[in-house]
Amino acid sequence: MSIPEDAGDTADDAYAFAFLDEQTKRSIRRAILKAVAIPGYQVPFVTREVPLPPGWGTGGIQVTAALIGPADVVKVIDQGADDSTNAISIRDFFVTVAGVWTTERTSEATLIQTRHRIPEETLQPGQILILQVPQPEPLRTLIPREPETRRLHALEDYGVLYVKLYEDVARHGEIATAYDYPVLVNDRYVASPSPIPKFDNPKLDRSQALLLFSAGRERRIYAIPPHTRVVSLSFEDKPFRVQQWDGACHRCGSRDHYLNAVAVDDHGGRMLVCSDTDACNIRLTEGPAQPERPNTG
Amino acid sequence: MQRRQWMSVLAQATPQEVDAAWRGHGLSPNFTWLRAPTFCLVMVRGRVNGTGTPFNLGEMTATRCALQLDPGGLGLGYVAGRHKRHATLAALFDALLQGGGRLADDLRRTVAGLDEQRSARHRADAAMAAASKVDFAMQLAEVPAGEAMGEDLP
Amino acid sequence: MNMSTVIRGGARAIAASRLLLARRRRGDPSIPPVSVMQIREQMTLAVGRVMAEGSLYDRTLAALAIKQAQGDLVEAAFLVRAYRTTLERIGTTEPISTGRMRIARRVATTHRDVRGGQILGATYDYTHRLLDFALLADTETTEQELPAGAAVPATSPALHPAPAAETMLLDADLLEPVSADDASGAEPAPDLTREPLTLPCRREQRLQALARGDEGFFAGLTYSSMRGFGRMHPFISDLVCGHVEVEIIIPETGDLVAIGEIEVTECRTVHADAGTARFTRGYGLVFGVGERKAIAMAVLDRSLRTRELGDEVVYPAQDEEFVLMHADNLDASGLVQHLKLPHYVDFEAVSQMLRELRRRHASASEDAA
Repeated sequence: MSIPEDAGDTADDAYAFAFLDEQTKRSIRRAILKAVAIPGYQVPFVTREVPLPPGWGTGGIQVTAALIGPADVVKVIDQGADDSTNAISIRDFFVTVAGVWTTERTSEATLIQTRHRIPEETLQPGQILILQVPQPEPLRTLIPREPETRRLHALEDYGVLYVKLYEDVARHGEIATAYDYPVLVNDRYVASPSPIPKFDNPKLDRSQALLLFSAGRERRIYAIPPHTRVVSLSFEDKPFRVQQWDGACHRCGSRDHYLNAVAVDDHGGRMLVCSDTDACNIRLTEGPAQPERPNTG
Repeated sequence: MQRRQWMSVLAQATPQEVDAAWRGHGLSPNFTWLRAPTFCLVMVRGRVNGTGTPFNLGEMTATRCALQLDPGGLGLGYVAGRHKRHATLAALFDALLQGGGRLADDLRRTVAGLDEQRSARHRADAAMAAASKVDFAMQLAEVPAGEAMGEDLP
Repeated sequence: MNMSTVIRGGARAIAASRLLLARRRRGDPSIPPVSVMQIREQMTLAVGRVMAEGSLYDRTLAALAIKQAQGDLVEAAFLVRAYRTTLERIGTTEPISTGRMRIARRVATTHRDVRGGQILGATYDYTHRLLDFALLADTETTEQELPAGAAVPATSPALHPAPAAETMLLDADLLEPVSADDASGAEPAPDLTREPLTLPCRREQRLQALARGDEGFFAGLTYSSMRGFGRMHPFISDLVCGHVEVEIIIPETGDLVAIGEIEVTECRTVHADAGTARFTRGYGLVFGVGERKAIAMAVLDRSLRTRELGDEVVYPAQDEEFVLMHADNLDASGLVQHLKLPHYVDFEAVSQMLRELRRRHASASEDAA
């Protein structure tokens, strides 16, 4: 054996990016198991710094990294698109540190990490959807303090939230929440579905896939196991309604995907395009799915 | 000199000092790694109020290694910072010092020399700090009797 | 419009962005690149801040991060924190003994002079803030000789005696006893890198969070608490900068061995408390030379003891949740800057909602008319 040469600070070679060590993976998996055991309950966990900043999907990255194995196929989307810059950045990260297979096809993926959308294509048993969550606490904008919201969840006391929704109806005629619309999970905990548009809320109800929610900066993980009842909060006389558009996707013709407005000129002209790029591609090549998914909640 | 003392001296010497000390002996023993030099972390702890219950202040890098001399003898190297050569030489010194005999005596003297170098460095630092110490006696002496005191410090 | 171009341009743009960043970081190629060692040796205050907020003591790594981050110290702290994640932690050190610090600087404000003396050290405090244009030159003149100062005692003079001001106050029974703070010596100290912060938190967690928090945020909060958004009238009983030995227990042998030294700044404050007719304490300790941070940390430490000491929490600097949940500059910077990520899906949803509300409002007006 030989003595290392460099008498000063040794450079580089320690940066063998094994990324999440087994100890960290184990502790994240323990948090996930607790979360699955108590649907909708926010389990605290210790976040590890990863090469993306907090607030940019670090919670999702840690959960994906804790679950990933050699047989997995990973899809990463942001705003529904595989080629959104942040989705590319995260997917590149997993290719670099885990050498994992990736796909843009929802149906081919075993793990789907997503920001702000749920794929249009119905998820199957065995698939795991990992949603990036900026603010896991559905009561936070009403109550800034964590010990207090923790207590309200424990006491199943969500009055303050229903009051807010009621005030919306009284003032505006309807509930003025377009995304991150709170849901009641398994008839017990109110949870934030993450900033998905309310259009996607129905997909949470009795999904066949495992839905995991992870907030790295806020240090919370929660879960909706397969076949769990999930109901968007509403009133008997003000039932939950999703977004609708006057028009179809300019590219594939779909009327039941979530559509984004894209500017076509400088005078406010716009056309509508699917947010979910994979679903748009499939619809374009294969035509509408049979049967078409109903829009109501 | 006990083992923990020479380990401390070797760790606290600069990498350059340990390197020069090693070269001075012209040794090249054969050894195998039990643990090749690796970078690691230790959590530095402080005390609440300086004297009370410990708290975790933050981590620091360190390098550690363990080796076995070919004829026999286990050496450990633990040094602050990321210095593979320093850790290795510390482990070699450690293994040979335990071996006893004439060589160990020579090495012990070398280690004592490293200790003295460190003390000299510390004395020099202390002298520089002392130069900026406010001498209140000198201040009082400078003021003619009967005049009002001005500000203490510039 | 070619939809596939719109969707697929992302990867190419990212690659170009990375190249542009590399060029920007290098700057004018006719000018020599700055070296990591130059940063380490000549920008020690930046290095100290990055070590403190990156929560990792390694001067070379901090200097490297500063170079890579083009001087953005928050970005540099992030690089250091992420590097930390890749190394295995092998244990904790013995608690450092600031009582045995090799002092480079020492200020005690409660008494004109104290045992051990006031040692000015290397500080900007006694300079005039005038730009020194001599520093524009590429080379610097050799050091000046230090003036003959106080005689240097034969024994280690700059070892920090037990904080003299505190000792005097304790002897006069004017300082809250230490045992009041020493609630839980037996169990291992809680560690924010292993368990998340829960509120209300123990003082050890608070000090750990303060030590790694953003200096600017703390300076502002402390300022507020001294100006009227708080009732802080602190005195610094002791502020020291210097080196302390770091000792660990060698796993293989059980021996206590010193593996090196680190530079730290420690600040102790005292605060008059009429209720108990004594002074109460604040404590700050940071990596590197960081007086502003250590002082702010000590004042905030005391300020966050408001509830514990029986007073009402009224102001932000007294509010543990407000201060500690927003102290980490990685978290703050991350969320603030995440606003740059695409948000068009939610924007579409909100726009639709507003259009619907306007329609509803308009038709309600029509009905009323």
